[in-house]
Amino acid sequence: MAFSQDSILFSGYVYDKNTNESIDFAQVSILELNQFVYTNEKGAFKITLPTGEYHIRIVLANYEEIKSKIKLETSLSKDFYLKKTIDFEQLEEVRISAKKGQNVTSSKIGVLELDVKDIKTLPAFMGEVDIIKVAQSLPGVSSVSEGSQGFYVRGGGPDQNLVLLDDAQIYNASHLFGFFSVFNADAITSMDLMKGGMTADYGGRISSLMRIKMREGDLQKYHINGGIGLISSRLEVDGPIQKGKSSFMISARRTYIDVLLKPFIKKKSSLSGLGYYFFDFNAKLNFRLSDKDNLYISSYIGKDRFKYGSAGSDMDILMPWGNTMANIRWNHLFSSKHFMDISTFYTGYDINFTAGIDSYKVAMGTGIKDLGGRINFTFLPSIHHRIRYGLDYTFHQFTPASVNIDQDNVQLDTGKQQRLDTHETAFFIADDWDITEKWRLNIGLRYSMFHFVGPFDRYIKEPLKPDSIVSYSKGDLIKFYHGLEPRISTRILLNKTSSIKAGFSVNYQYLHIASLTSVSFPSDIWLPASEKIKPQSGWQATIGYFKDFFDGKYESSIEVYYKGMNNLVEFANGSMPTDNVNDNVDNQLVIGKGRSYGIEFFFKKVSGKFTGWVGYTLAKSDRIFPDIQDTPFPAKYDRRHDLNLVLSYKLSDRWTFSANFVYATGNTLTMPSSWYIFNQDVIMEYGGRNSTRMPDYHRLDLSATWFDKPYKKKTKIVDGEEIKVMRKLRNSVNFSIYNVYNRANPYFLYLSVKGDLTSDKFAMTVKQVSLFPILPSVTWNFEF
Amino acid sequence: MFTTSCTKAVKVKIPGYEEKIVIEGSIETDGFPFVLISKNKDVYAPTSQAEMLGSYLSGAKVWVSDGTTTIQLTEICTNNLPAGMDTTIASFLGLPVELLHQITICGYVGLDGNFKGEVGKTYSLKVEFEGETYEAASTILNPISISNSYWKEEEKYPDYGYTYHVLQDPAVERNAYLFEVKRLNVDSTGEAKDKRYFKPYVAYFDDEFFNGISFEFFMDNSATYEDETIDKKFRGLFHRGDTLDLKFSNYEHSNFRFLNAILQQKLSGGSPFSLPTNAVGNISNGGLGIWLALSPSYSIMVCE
Repeated sequence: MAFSQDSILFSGYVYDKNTNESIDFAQVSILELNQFVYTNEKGAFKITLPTGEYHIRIVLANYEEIKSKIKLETSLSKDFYLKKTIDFEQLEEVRISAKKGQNVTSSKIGVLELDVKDIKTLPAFMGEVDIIKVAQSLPGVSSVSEGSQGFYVRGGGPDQNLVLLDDAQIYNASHLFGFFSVFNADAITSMDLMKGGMTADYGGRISSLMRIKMREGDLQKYHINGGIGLISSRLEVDGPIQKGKSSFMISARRTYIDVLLKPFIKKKSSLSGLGYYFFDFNAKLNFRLSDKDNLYISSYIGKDRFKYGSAGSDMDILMPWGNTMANIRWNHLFSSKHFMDISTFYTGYDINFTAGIDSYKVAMGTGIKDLGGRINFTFLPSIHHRIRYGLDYTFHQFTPASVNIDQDNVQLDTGKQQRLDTHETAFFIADDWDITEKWRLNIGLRYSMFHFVGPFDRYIKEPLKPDSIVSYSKGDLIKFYHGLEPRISTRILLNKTSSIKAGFSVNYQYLHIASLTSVSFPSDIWLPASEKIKPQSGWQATIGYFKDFFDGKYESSIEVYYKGMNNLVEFANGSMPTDNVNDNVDNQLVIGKGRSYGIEFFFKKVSGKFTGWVGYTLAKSDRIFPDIQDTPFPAKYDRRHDLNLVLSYKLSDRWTFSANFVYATGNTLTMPSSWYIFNQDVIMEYGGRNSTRMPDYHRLDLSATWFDKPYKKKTKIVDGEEIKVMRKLRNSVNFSIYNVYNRANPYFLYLSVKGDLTSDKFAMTVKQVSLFPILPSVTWNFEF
Repeated sequence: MFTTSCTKAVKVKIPGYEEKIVIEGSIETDGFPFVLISKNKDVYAPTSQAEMLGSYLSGAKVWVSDGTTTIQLTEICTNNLPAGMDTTIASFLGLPVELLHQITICGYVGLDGNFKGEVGKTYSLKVEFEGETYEAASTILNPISISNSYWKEEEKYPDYGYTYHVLQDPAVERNAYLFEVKRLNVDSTGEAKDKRYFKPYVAYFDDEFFNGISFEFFMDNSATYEDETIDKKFRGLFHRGDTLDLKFSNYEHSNFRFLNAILQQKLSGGSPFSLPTNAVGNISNGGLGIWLALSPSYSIMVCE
């Protein structure tokens, strides 16, 4: 194929005609040239063409096609408004993932994309649809278990995933120890996950990038959406501030487990002071300042709050934790070939624990605060290049561990509270390059830098020597790291329905998470690379074969990957929580390596009454920590087999049925391999790290969703004619059953010791704790 | 949420069992050295009373040296104890004296009247067993006393309460402590309430948070936790009028990690929310357990 060098830019936006929301992944085709592009997440498209007249076609499933004719002599910007064929819920076809054609044609490898609207009919957990739980049903993505924080991508840790909500990082994406994600389905529109190595415009993590897009308010009409479930309720309101020019969206969710349980707990019970809830609050404003400028303001606040105060006891415990995020973003079009996206953000995560026991008051906390900005340019020099370049900067302030203890107002010595200041900066450039019609290359380079600066106290503890402290003043440079991060991926179209893709990426991660627990927990400690611990680094090589069948109704892929990880951290054997007091957390850490490799199979039916997917992953993930043990040991999220089946059947306009089945090899954990008696106590002697494997995990969930009729019949008074009138209030009810066959899946195992050592009643048993039996739920959703 | 959880017994493969010797030995000021030897057990090993009490091994050769004098400890068994040793052994083992009379446990004791623990001396232990040699050393430090003790009645439970103690911690690096208590007053049978020292739930602690300052702590009455003659709500509390023999020992901080690890294991109960922590003692050649030199000081208090 030949490209004209005197090309002209044709650009614009595609919007939903009813809501005026931007539409991503609408296909904009130039019929004469047999070329097409997709709109991005802001609804924007750009294509460079030779001068001439062209017929344009805009298509997207569930929308009426638009055809238009353009004459290109100079650069042209034109917006298109797509009209929905019919309300989504009333469609004959339900699409799971609306990116038709992307499976084969996209040059990105290991990318998963989900629209929130596509998952609302899938089985809900206690009435809550959760986009991260759906992502965990895709190949290469998993949770450690029910009740574990975050998600795990291709054998990497939960800290190695960069989770962005409207381009601002969320450090802890879970509520209630991982049972729910922080992303309220009413407040977001879509999610994409790059598990095969991220493009050069993103970095700072070595496993994956998850981008969540917050919903924008309707520019024309007001809407109220909500839902009432068994344990939580949600409400979302959006609409124009100034019609056609600016809009708002606010959304809130709160659980009421504490309120529901209260009548069932006796006042004198030891559980009477038990309480837990979480809430989320999302808000977004968007302003069309001009044809060339858009401004977005997003914010999120989410908190979990656990408290315990026992009747008849002097003990009170309070544990709040959560995220706060605010982001301001401005898009500007310099010219038809040059765009800018600039944003500034604040994000923070903290967890605190306070306990009062008699005259003692204990307060502990850990957290991280980020303040930063990002400037990202897009430049289209010719028809076959799309160049992005820019700069990322983040100031991180860590509080790895703060402890205060006082007794009758006398402060005990818990050491100086540590605040660690770091600056993370990166420059990047990337090009999406169509070398030929069949061969596309994404090539990029990222140069990242990390400054660890004072004030800081380094505790030096050596055997047989008194402790000493090296103090650094504010602004002193303690350690500087930097590195080049090449990223490359390519797609070669074999024919219209199949392609081969491959990718290679190198990433640096200047943050670590240190976990004292066997499961991920909100109290896990974030801390920076320092003069003691180097940044994590990782590289990943991926290759895959992608094939569509029956005009894209079925999609399939096979991907093979290998991932190497360096400078991972674990607490040293024998470390205890109190070791962090009067010391630096990183003094307790040991450094190691990791490797993971696997093969992923994916088969998906994209459209029709019957949709869904099956994914299977065969994988292995090891850790090598010579200071912990001489031989490699499995990562705690090592999962040999992982099978997921998600099915959805649209019986009629009124009913949709869904099922979800998961089978996975049991997770690993460290169990006592022996025990002994010391002073009539039973002492456990733990075996190899993560050497015990729990029983396999499997579960079936079912759901049925009922929709009311979209219209009601009315008779005209004038002529008696019966007409259909759209209902203002729309209802749907989701009935779900979680764990249909009541499988007792393992949450963790422990060695139970019961009875007196000197009696015949003494017994030692391996016990399995399971969290959720069969759990039915019902959620009423409404919209008007 | 956790109200929906359930627990069941399972049998999973737990690799990594490796037979190791366990040495549990101590010496304290003005006391004889005493050593018990056993082996660790597989998690699926039988746990009958006979198995448990038969865990202690005979046939070892054990020596203790103070740097100038070395003695070989004598293997004695509970069915053949020298007069007056039963309470000492029962206290060490944490067993009722009555039970000790019914069973046979073998240990190693230094019975040389001229070889008793002295402040400032370092005691080295050497054990030969099944062709292997295990060694350890520990020093008896200067004693540190509790400066004040009192009892306080709990508002909700008249005549019952915890004991409170004030410690002036020396401003030297890292001190570690062991608190034990024995009730001396007689019960309804005319016997002393406690025939040995009992350790409260958190008996071992160090001065991580109060180095060099005055620190007040409270202690519970662990002797009553299994006493079915006492109403459950009063268990763990001392009764008004109890006369208490307090034994407060200090020891090398390097040995605290072992004892603290045991406490952490007890507190966590094997939950996944804690790091698997092995208790690493001072026994060489891969042996488990600890050789501990204690420096006790004693005081008497009355709960009133």
